[in-house]
Amino acid sequence: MATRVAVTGLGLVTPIGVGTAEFWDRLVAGTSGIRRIGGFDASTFVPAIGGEIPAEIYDPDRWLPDRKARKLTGRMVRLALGAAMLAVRDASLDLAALPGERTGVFMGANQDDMEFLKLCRLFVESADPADPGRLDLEGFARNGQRACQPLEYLRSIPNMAAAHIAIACQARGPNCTFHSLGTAGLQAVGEATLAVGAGEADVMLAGGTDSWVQPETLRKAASLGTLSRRDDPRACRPFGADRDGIVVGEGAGVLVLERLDRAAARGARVYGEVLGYGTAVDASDFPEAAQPAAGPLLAMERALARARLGPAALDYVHAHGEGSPAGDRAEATAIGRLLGSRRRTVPVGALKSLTGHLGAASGAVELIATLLAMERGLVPPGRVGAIDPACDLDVAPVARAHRVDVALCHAMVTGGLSAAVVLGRAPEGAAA
Amino acid sequence: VTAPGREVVVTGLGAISPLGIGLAAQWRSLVEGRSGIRSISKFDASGFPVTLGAEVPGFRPEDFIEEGFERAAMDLPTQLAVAAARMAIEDAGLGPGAWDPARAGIYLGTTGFNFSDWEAVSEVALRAAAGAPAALDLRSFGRELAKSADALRARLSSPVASTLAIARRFGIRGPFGLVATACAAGGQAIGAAKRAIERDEADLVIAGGAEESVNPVKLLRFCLLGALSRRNAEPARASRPFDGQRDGFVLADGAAVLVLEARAHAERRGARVYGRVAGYGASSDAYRVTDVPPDGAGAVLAMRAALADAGQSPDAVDYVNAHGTSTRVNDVVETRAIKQVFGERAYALPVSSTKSLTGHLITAAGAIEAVIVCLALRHQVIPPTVNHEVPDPECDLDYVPNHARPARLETVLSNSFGFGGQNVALVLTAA
Repeated sequence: MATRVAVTGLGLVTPIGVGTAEFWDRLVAGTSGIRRIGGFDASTFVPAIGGEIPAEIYDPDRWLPDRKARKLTGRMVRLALGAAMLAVRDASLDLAALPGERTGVFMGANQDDMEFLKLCRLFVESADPADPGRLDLEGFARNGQRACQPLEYLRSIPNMAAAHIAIACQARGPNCTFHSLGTAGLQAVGEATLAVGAGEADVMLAGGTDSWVQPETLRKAASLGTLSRRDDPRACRPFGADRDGIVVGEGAGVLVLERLDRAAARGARVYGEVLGYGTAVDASDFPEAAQPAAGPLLAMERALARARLGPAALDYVHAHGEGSPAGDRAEATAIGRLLGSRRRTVPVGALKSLTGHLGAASGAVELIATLLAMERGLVPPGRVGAIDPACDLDVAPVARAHRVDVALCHAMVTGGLSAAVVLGRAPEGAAA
Repeated sequence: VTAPGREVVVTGLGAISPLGIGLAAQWRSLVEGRSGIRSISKFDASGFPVTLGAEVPGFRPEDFIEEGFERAAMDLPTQLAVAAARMAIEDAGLGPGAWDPARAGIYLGTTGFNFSDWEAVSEVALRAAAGAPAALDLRSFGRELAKSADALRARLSSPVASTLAIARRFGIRGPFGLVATACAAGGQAIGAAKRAIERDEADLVIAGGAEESVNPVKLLRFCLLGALSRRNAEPARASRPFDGQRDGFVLADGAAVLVLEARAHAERRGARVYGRVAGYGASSDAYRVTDVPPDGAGAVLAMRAALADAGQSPDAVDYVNAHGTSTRVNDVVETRAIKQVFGERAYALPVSSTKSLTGHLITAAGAIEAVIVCLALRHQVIPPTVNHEVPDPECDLDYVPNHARPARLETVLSNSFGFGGQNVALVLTAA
């Protein structure tokens, strides 16, 4: 990457805090944001827990004063708008003075699932009177047109978060949405960095947003058997000896990326540089296969190669660490291979123990956590209970002072997709 | 500036669309102006205000996908994607082991949930509720679902299902991207793939998209949006981009995949080259999520960015494959945007919309149109905009009305725009 790309603003809306100050305090204290779900009746799920963002810490309508616009937007958009506006403020970006054509938005996002149960009810309402076990499509067409919002399609599609952020910031440059679940947020930041590097934009807002604390997501995860069965704020145990699955979460994280020279010229605070990015698809290696760590390792090596660094340069690794038996083992094996003899001395972050799985937002939020750790010389805790001997990594149980100059963040979709981003400390002389 | 060896060339094409299966079928229908739009036959659409659509005729997944690759568990878009990828790879003359998996990537436009399994989901819902909608809750739904989990596996693993299926089937371990920018996604996936090759992350990329939009759930949502043509009595005349009597677009199914290669890689193996993906540009309208700016400023930005990326001036463009959806608004605004980019020359520049024949493949639209542009470059013929009968004073360019036209084609611009203000333009050039 010939053009150096700086991170100059951070914004997040997470189960453990809104904005970097609140988020960091709870992160360092190891305060879990996982709780009994209160936003909808989840009592049919056992256990009904998740990293839900309570209304008392975030008003989802805050950035959408227009009632018509609220009708059009699902929860993901509302979380994303908050994160984006906090990032803009944190970067002291003057939106009115921003070159709109040179400002872009890349987001990782998911489809809005809220309406799924409504759709199923519509199916039921439209049962064939002669054969109640069958759907009458004519009835479905009629009932659907009566019961659904005209703009429902626009509410459901994944690119709405990036669209609303672009409108709010008048960002008319490159705009893209990635839909690769757990890797999407990290990919959005990696691709946005490359877009700045290639001269396609001077400033990018990049990150991810998702809400898995929704009936449809819980239903899917439950039927796939991927959820933790614990009814406990400490249910998510990345790399833990007794981990038993993921915990759903929700949130959004947005980073302001800009050319380092532009950031320096305006005297912006620089959190760090994005040095490298790499991805790998590796569907030949399913978790039960012999080489499940190959894909994650490839992505991490590619990100380091792009940064022109070797694994020896790494002071910190933020893992995907979702708390699943197979996924964590594959990831730990990959990180262990990458670090070699340093596997027990390089601290590994695992934020999901406190927030749950933030889906497409997780990579972006974890990048932010890593940049804060770098800036403050303190790595936050991630461990819950004993570490699995098969996942022999240094996941701290409590916050620990540690200088981080170069860090790597990894995200994955267990079973085939991996992405990694390498971050570097802000260069000496940059405003901090 | 891209090193010559990292230039991105197209060496293989695969297409399954309402025009047929395979490249020959696409091209024949395009030059003969034979529409793929008919009355919907996959399900009873008689209750909807729109009963027409563009389905893929005669697609048999078993012709393309071996058993054992979870063929039965794949939903239709995944089957279409795998089949189109296979076609493109064979068209590129690539056999097993022909590439280094670590240097091969995959970039697809994606739609989120496909609702291809609407029938299975509705059956589960009906059983769970036992006739009383109020009785349907998550517990009852979950209980019924547990009994039929296998049938729904494919849905559960979507939207990454087609990426993983193609990667596994053909041996891809390089970079990936799932682009979800609505109707711009197919074009943007090709643009993102171009970047991956230029940056030396991959030598070969499978790029494109697959879509099943003709199903009751999507039909309902698009009917509610009011975006679809209601010319139910004359399906083949329903999609009429730039025509004075246009009244909306037509939902279509299909998939299109391109094999993109670094020029050095293609030359080393002596591959046939259809053309080059020379430029890619993307922008956002940043206007309203429900509407486009009347001046088409966002579209102008994307077209200019793609031309700049290609190092070309607007004067070099011989043909524009328009987004041309056949909605009242899109076609006027796109026309204005083209005039802004090309100035007076816009009036002498052939602009056509092949959606007049294929319908709108939504997230695969940009991909099928890139395939069509490659075929146009190969045959040196511009496919027409059919159903162009009644002039619209606000659409006053040369839309290549109704008949294919031989032309000297070196440089072609292809537009894809999407809900939410997504704008993507690609510049494709002869080798």
